[in-house]
Amino acid sequence: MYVVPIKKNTEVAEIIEQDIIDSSVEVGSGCEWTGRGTEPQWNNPKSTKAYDHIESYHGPKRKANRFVGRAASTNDDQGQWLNAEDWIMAEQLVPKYSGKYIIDFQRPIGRVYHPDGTITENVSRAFIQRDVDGTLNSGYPVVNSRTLSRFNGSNGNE
Amino acid sequence: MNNSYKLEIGLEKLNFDIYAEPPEDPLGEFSDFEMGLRRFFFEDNHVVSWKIGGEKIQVFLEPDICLIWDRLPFQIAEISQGKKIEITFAESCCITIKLVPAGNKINCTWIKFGYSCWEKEFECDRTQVLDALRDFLEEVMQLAVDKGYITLEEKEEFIRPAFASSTDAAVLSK
Repeated sequence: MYVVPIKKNTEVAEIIEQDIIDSSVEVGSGCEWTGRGTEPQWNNPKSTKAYDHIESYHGPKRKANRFVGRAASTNDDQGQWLNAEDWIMAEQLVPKYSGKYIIDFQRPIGRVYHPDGTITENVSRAFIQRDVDGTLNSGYPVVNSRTLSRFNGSNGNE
Repeated sequence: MNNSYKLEIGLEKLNFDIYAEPPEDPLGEFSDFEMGLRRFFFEDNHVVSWKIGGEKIQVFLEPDICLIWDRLPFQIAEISQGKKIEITFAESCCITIKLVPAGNKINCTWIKFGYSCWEKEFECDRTQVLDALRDFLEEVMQLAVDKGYITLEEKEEFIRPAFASSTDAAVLSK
């Protein structure tokens, strides 16, 4: 398994998997803004420009019945963050390249609603998708068995 | 690898609840045009089916297409210039579609991730893929115009990059 340990301030996390699209340009918070208009407020979890649908579809205040309904209608897991600050932390911790990542915070960061109605509490991993401008297209907690590749390891251009 | 597969992208009526959420912009970061589009995706939500070979995925204008929409005209331009692109859907399903131009062909790879992972590769005609993507872009934006969410001028400006920089037959014929 491909694991990159990260330490930022007091936070320790691991990049469990990554699938990098473009490693030639660094994007995201702290990098030069290359997207449309003004730079988003990276440190504000309510920034729809930076974090798009994360709060409305996976935020801690979304009602449980919405997750249950969406898990059933998509027939796929639906992750819910426990704390909005953690998707800001995820943005800071994953590599500054567009691509997909699975990050392990090594502490509980969310729960996962399954299509069969069951719930897995206290998951520590999240799926993160970083767009070419550095913003996060998607980001949600996942169970440990979720993977980016059939090889269950890095398949990026690292 | 199989030869000359056809990429099809179609809008279908949505007749079940997918528990989509209305667009929000609490910090006022989006323009009226951007919010108009987001309201259209939510209020006139449709199933969007992507088909190739025997494979089919279903995503939705809201949330899935909404998340890739800003980039799509530029990605179409990149393909027409011979550059590879990736389109990832990670909300209603977990699929990455990689399109890699090679001469008059495009290698189209569908990569499933999540619990089960697989990859399937299809060789397509480059013009057909570009036509499918451009037709989809135009159809959705025209629908937004027809429903009064955006203006015709806004639509034309938005889709222009997808038609602007190419020497392929589809553009030259316009």
